Amino acid sequence: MRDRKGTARMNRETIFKQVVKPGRYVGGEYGQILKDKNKVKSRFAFCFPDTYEIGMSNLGIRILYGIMNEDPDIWCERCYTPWQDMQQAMRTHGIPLYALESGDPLCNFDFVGFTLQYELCYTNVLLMLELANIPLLAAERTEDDPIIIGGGPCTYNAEPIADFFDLFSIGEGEDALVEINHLYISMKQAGTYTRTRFLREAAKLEGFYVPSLYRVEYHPDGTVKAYLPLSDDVPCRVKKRIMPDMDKAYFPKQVVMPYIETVHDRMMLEVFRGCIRGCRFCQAGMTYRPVREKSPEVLDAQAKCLYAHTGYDEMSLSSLSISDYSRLPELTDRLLQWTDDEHVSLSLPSLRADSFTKELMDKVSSVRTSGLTFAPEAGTQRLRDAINKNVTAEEILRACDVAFDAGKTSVKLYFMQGLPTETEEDLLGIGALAEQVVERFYQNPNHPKGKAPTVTVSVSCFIPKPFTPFQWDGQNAMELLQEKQKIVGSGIHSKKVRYTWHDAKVSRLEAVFARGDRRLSAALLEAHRVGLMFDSWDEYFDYDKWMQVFSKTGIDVDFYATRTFSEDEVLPWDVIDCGVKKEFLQRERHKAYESKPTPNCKEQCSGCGANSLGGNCRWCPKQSE
Amino acid sequence: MVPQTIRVKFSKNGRLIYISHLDLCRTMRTILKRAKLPVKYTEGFNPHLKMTFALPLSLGVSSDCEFMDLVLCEPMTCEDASARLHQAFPPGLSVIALYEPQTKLTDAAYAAYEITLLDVHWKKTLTQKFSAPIFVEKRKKDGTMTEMNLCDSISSVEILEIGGNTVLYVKIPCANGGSLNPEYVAKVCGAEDYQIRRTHLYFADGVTDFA
Repeated sequence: MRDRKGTARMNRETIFKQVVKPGRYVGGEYGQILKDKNKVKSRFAFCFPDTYEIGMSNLGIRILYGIMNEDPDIWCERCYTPWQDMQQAMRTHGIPLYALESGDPLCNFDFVGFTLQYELCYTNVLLMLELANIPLLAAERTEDDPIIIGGGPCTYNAEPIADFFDLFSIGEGEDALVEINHLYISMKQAGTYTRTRFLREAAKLEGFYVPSLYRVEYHPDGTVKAYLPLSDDVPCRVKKRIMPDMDKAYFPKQVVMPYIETVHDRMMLEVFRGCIRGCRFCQAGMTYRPVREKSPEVLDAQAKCLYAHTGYDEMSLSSLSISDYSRLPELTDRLLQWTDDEHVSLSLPSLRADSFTKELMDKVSSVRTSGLTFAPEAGTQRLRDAINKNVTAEEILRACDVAFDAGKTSVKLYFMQGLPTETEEDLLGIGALAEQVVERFYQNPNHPKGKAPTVTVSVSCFIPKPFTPFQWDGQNAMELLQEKQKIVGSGIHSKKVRYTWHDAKVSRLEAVFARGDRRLSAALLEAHRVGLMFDSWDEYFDYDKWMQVFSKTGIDVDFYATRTFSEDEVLPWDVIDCGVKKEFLQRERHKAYESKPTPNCKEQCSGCGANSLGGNCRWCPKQSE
Repeated sequence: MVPQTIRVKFSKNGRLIYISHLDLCRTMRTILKRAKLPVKYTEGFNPHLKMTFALPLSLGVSSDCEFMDLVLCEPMTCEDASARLHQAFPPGLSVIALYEPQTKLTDAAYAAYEITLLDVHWKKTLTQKFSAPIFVEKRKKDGTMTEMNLCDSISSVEILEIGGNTVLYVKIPCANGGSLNPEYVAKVCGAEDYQIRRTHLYFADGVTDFA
């Protein structure tokens, strides 16, 4: 019998020299986990549906790869989307998609998992399945095929991609993924395993959504009528999982270290989950609730351990809003006790303007820093109140002062356009705010002399996302978005202000899938068939081709992207329970239309409902039940 | 504290041959940190490691003779440093020797390569080929193409047939502007499957092993 693996490896060596950045495909990195495949009972191929460079920067994989590999019965390996030149070479030489650690083809694994971080990666999911010789549609898979499981932020509305997955892990996957492997192993050992039986059992576990166990009915007008579980032991709504105590939750001691340059090649210390702010456009802030912090002692220990095992010289404190961490000064003090001497620089992304102080700046500035970035999101206080981004112009200017005092000359400001309740005044306010920053620079007596300030204004398009107060609001029509981009530009007069904006076409495509339902799977299949892939990459994004795909598959783009959904409608994602209650989201939406802000969790509880999931949250009221 | 220079001779094999020299330099930073070697940093606003390599290695080439000089700001025995580095090295890199150098890295004058052309018996044809000028198109630093005689950049070539393959032993001078990439030699032979290994670096006499 031919040594299939041996031949495949030899073939691979030849093609490594033919492709760009072969380092993406060779594996063998320091920190990789190698196991004896004959001794483990379940093999899990963890796929990130984008390039190696992007996937290796993902914190979620680092955690889940680590925790699954801690278990002696499970071997978790990694796989990323090959670039087009590698795809061609693989097809030519008959090499199926393989995992990096063992080099074994994905189709030989027990599980193939995909982390779904953004909607525009969906075509890459299909591409990877096809390269792996795994049937794209879940309904077409046989007992020989692996179980295809999905996780990550997009699972809060996985409907557009549901037909391609056997199951989804909703919420935090640390314990969930280990459990699902154990369920599989125990059923195999007991001899009771079949795909159907396994999925039925999985649906009974908390946090697992098995799409094939629901029948979806639609009204004549196209809106969802109901999601009907096919049997009594399938839950009507799947409740997300959380790790209740982040201090006790698993965190990796080491990470796989890439050889080639990746997007974020550094230590990532996860400081806390969730967000107290409740900005009305933000899905992550809602879906990661309740807020759960780690203590500075635990974080310091985790940081030291990670540093010893990696040798990285940069560490980022990851969270949705680092300045809201209740013990930030204590944490930074602890870390700085050793990071300076070790030449490790601290990076604090997601800083809010209203908590940017000189003290913080000094600490962060102790080694190299990148440019200063704030996200006012809207140009006027009126609109900022409506979207509940509670930061004032004065707070932003004061933060810029701190930066200018320290010799910085460039500031980046993020905004959105197309927000609900937006008027022309709000759009012009963007330029006005940027110019106020420029003025402040010159008014500041400490500003760097002889240098001009640069204020970069970066404006993206609002995309309504599930589980936010704005989930019912439609995105503006394309023509309106493009017109608004010009209006914003007309409000900028100073040469010191740079204006950049995101392609409205990309945002439109995102909006279709963000609020999509299962009928979009036909479009995804067709998109894959015509060769669409890497949709989040400039060089691959093809809007016209997508519109042809939608036209051919009978999809009305406006139905998903621009339509205002009725608050009485059944939403495709109602089958998921992320903790936050619909009534809360509706209340928040109504307040938005009155331009009324809501206090954050530290100031006052607004009853979002996430506390019903339990968890160690300082600010959530304990449930009375 | 007098800075101490140490020289590491190491091999690069396995999957690491697909990692470029630049990427290896960057990776070396984290390796040295993990090894807890007290490497000296340069002064200035953007401190970086005081680390230099003898000669960059082309992508796809394995090597038994990589040389890297490090400046330590604390004294350490070579045994200690070697053991620590060995621990921190990823699969594919291996410490061959670690010592205080008596020469400069720039004293390396020649690089010797073993080019194995798999499954072909071309000793006769290749010996003939390499006895005359071989013109190839080479991309210059400014991006334009130029024609050059490959044999001008090769100081010696010996061709043998070993175990079903044809093996070329090529000696290439280390030039300041950049030595010849041995891949050119392999490609010009016309074989589909080949492996290249850098076996030695030599001093100016062309025969004494660089150390």
